[in-house]
This record gives sequence, structure tokens and C-alpha cells, in this order.
Amino acid sequence: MSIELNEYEWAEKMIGNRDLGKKPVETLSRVARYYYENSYGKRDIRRRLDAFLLQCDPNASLVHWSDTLDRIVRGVGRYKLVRMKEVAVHEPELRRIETLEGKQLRRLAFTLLCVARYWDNVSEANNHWVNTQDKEIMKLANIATSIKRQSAMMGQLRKLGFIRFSKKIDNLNVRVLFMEDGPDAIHIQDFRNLGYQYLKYCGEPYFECVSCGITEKIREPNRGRPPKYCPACAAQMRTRQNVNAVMRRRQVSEEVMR
Amino acid sequence: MPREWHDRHAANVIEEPEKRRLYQRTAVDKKPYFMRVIYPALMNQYNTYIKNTNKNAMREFGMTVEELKAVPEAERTERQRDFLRYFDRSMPVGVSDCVMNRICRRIEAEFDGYIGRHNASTAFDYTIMKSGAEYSRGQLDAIVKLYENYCQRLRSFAVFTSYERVDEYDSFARMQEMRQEFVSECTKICPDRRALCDIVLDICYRRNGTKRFAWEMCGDEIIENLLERHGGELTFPEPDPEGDIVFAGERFTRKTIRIGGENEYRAE
Repeated sequence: MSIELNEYEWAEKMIGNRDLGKKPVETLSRVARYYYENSYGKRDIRRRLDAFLLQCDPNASLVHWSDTLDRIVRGVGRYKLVRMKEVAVHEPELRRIETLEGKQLRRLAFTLLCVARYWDNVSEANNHWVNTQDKEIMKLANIATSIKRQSAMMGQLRKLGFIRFSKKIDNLNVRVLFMEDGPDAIHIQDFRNLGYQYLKYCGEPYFECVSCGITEKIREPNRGRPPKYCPACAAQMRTRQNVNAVMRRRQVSEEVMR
Repeated sequence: MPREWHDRHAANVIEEPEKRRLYQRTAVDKKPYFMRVIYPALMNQYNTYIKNTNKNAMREFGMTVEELKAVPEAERTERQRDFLRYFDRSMPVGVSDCVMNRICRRIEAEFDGYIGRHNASTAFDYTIMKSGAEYSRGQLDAIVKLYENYCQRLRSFAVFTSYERVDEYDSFARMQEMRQEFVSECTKICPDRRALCDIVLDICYRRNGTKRFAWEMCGDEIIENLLERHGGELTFPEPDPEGDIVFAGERFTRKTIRIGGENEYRAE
């Protein structure tokens, strides 16, 4: 399950935009729980899921999706939607992370801490476990390296007493051992690019996109003013500006021809 | 079927010791290794199990499970011995040395990665599409800049169409407009179509990027070059109930036609 701080608002947004997102089953599950929290009955939720699926993708086969939607509706009351404003990271924890050697290792430790705190807020019985796939953890930590190196980093964190592995040999979840209470240092309100957010806190040249809020690296910090938009938003802005410019030119030329 | 035959936990709670030992030894609680080929869910479960245990072994011991198994028994730590014991016990398939399992492993050893190795050894020679015309370094550099601009515009257009939800017809019209624009720019830089064809092929096929640029700018020239290499003759398989070529349950015959000119003919 991907991490969303406020699943209720996210589900509302997906329903409004008629968007299945990158993980359709996850979206449908959240939408079902949204309707459940708004006091709809299971039969009604099932019908609404069919309608939502067709609105997002008119070519979707309801027969093909029927078993999946039945399964989603059966388990709809099991977990409540996550509704958090932010996740706080405390100063003693950051001081402990700073003792690690290597930026990648520090980013990884920071990300594991944030994700563990998220899951602790989701369930009181979580007990500091990180219940997210390691691929997703590395993506959140902005670490792009080989599986061997990733495994070595996890092994190193375990040796230093920062994490503990699961006793089950095919379970990749880890338990964070260095959580400590203390004054808040950072408030995480966006779980994208956690690694970059940590580096920004450490004073490195990173910025927040004014459009989508993601934290990105400043490519040339010594040149000009810092960027306003991330590359994806900048491409969209440029395309929109180009399209508007072409439309304006066409309008002017049409008026001239008249 | 009695539950004790296929559920080890049910066999473990039998009170009579002899009967319990018999059922524990004969319980069929896992499908054998070779059956994962016919059950996709089992294949998925097995692959995930191997991937996760390897990752865990890398994290804990700095080596894969196979490497850990290669460590002599006397040199293994207690944790390593426990790890391997649980690895065998939790395996989702039965890996005993039965005949079918051995046949399956033998075939896998022979054919695993065969297609990848075969494809890697047969590199595509793109020079068969070239005309052999000469061009200058200046022309190449200018067309490379156009190519990079084309790729950038393609990416922006993809973002735009998804953002603005442009319909297919409109999208096609805009792509055609963009294509025309780039064709005229390429023609300004290199009026000789044969040289231009060689330039775009060298740019696109010497790198791992999109080949679309080459086919959009000089698709006709590429086809003409290929035909020229084969004397204008095009050979293709035609459906024929009495043909000598058999493919996918259908029969075909080789037909050759000459493209263009007055001497268009058909030959066997």
C-alpha cells in the first residue's frame, strides 16, 4: 500500500477527477472505505464502485473486475481511512541519524524512521515496524543503487543497532529501534522524496515546487535564482504557454484575414 | 480426502503416536517443484519467496542463499544453520529429488536464459538500410540538435495530451504538423534525401533512444534502399493451402514481386 497522509481527501480527489491512479486496486479500496465512512451500505458501495470504474475507464470490463470489487467490499470495514496532517521527527532521532557515515545511509535511516512513525499512527499495535516494500522505501529515500548495496546498507543499519529484521526469513519488514521522544525538529507533510527533504533540512541546495510541493534538487545552485517548478510541472507550464501562444497567434491571424 | 493427508497441522494433532508419525511422513502439504510451471499463482509465490529470502540472506550474511549453502556445514554459524533450516521448511513447493523434479531442473539448467543469450548474440545490422551517401560533420551536428529537439517535443506533447485530454484525431493532426515541421527543417539542413537518410539512421541506431525520428523523416528512403539492395524485389509469404512453409497451423508460399518500373512480375 502506498503512503498517503490523508486517505479521505485523496479518495475524494480521485472520485472528483475520475482517476484510477497508478494502482487501480489501491484506489478502489480507498474509494470503498471512503463511501463506508460516509455511511453507505455494502450493496450501495458495490454499485458505486462499478460506476466509478466505468467513469474512470469506459472500456473497463465489469465482469473481469467483479471478483476484485467483491473482495474489496467484503473487507471494507476492516481498516479505517488514514487521516493525518503530518508526521513529526524529533531532535534526538535526527542527532542519532547524524552519527551515521554516508549520506545514503542517513537518508535511508531517516526514511525508515518517517515510515515507521506513519505506520505507528495508523495502528497502535504497530510497534515501530516498517510495513512498506523495500523498493518503495528506496524510492522514498531517493536511493538508486544495486540490490547488493541496498542489502549491505540495511545490514549496516542492523549492525549499528538502528533496525531489527523480522524473524521470518521471507519477510523483508524491519523494526526501527532508534525512536525517541523529544522536541519536534521536522514536520513531514508530504511523503514524496523524503531523502531530498532530509538533505534540504541539512542545508543542501534543494527546493519545493510551488505547483505540486515536491522537493527537488537545485541543479545549478550558483547560477541565477532558485527554480520555482519541478521538471514535470515546468514541462507542463512550458507546453501550456506554447499552446496558448499558438492559439493567440492563430486568433490574431484569423482576425487579420477577416 | 482426509485433512491429515494434505494438512501437516492436522497430522500433528493426531493422538496415536504411530499413526501421527505415519501421517507426518506422508502428508502432501506442498505441490512439487515442477508443478509451478502449470500453476501461475504457485510460480509467483515461489519466485517471491526466493527473491525475499535471497534479499534477507544478503542483508544478514552478505551472500545469497545459494552461496550460503556452499559454505561448509562446520563453518556455518548457528543463525546461518537456522536460516537454511527454515528456508527448506517454509519453501512453498516440494524440492525433493523425485524424477519429475530432476527432469525439470535439468531442462531449466539447459534452457534458462536461452532467448536472452540468443538475442544478445544476433545484433541488428542497421547499415543494410543505408544508401552509402556521404555527409559532412556540420550536417550531422545540426540534425543531432533537431533530433534532441524532436525527442523533447515528443515528451512535452505526451505530457500535454495527458493533461489536456486531447482526442485521438486532434492528437494525430498535431503529430502530423510537428512531423512536417521537422521534415522541412531537415531538408533545409541536408537537401540530399539519400545523405539525410544515412544521417538519421546513424543518429538513431547508434544509440538506445527512439528510432521513430529516422522512420518519420526518411521512411520512404529506407524502404527504397532496402528494395535497391534486393534488385527491387520484395519476397513475402502468401497464404496457400498447398504451400511448403508451415507456421502457426497455416501454410504459406514464398512470392516475389518487383516493386516499381514496367517489369513488375511475380515469380516462385
